Amino acid sequence: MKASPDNHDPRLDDHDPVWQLLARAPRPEPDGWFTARTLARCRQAERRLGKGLAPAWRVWRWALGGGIGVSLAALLLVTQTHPNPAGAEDQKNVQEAFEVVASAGPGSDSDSSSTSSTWQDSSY
Amino acid sequence: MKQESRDDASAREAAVESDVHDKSLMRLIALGDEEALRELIEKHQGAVYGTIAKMLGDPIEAQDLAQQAFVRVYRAAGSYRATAQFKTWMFTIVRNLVFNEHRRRSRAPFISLHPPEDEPSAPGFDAPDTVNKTPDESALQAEMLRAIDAAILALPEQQRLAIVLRRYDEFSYEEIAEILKTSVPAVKSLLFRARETLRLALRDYLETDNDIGT
Repeated sequence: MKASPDNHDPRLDDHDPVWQLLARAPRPEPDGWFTARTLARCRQAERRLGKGLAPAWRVWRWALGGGIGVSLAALLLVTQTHPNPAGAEDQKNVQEAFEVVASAGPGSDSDSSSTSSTWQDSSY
Repeated sequence: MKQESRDDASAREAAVESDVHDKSLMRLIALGDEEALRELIEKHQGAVYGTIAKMLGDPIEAQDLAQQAFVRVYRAAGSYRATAQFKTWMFTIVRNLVFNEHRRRSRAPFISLHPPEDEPSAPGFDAPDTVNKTPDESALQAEMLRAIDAAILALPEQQRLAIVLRRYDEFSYEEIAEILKTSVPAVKSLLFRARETLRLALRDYLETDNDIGT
């Protein structure tokens, strides 16, 4: 049977000349100081992480406090109701003025035209 | 045949015991136990450093990356959940580091400040045995080692990692599939192609071996 990836039996690995040849070039080993250096690097990483996190934690606390404050202020502004809002009063006045003008009728138009002609005549 | 299955069973048992021990070490590391970290590093440094060195072909860079791998393991100890095998999880970190390093090198041309590999005094690699062998044998041996390492380095990165994990770390197909985030048939295919490429690249040494053998 021809070798292919599908019918490959892992047990055959040890009898493969390529496999045996690879064994002649073993994995390199780290030097004797590798553990000590790695431990030192882990400690260094921990210190750096601690230093980096402390200011971040403080900033985060202030940011959270500020955020809550701003949210409360916004909530108060939105929910607060005025007993007599100025905008509504103005709108009411304007509407009343329109109603007065509309109820004056067509007779008042001639009056206004004579007034205007009087105003024009006043140049004499 | 029975002997083989007995060996397999005892090897599996040893692997399970080793994994349980690794996980208990990780729990201790999460609590800040430095001795547990030391033990974990001492236990796995050969596999981690050796794999990275075979993958990169640069012992100094390999040392740096192997240290980075252990720093990541240490940092992740607090959030580590023992769902998978510890060794598989750790080699996933190794894989990410090595592949990132490959990408970094491919973006920027890499100029090593360390002596090239073919210099006999390259640190970290086995020097030829000049005590028990004649100079000719030592030279041949050194040349063969260089050729093997060069042939492995010439493989595409997935094939290279698959062959290193299988040959030198003795991972199963399932474990390699988990580390490479692929399927078992894909791993078989990677190994098959890698083996065929190596057979071709190292044919001179294979033929020499056969000649000596007959």
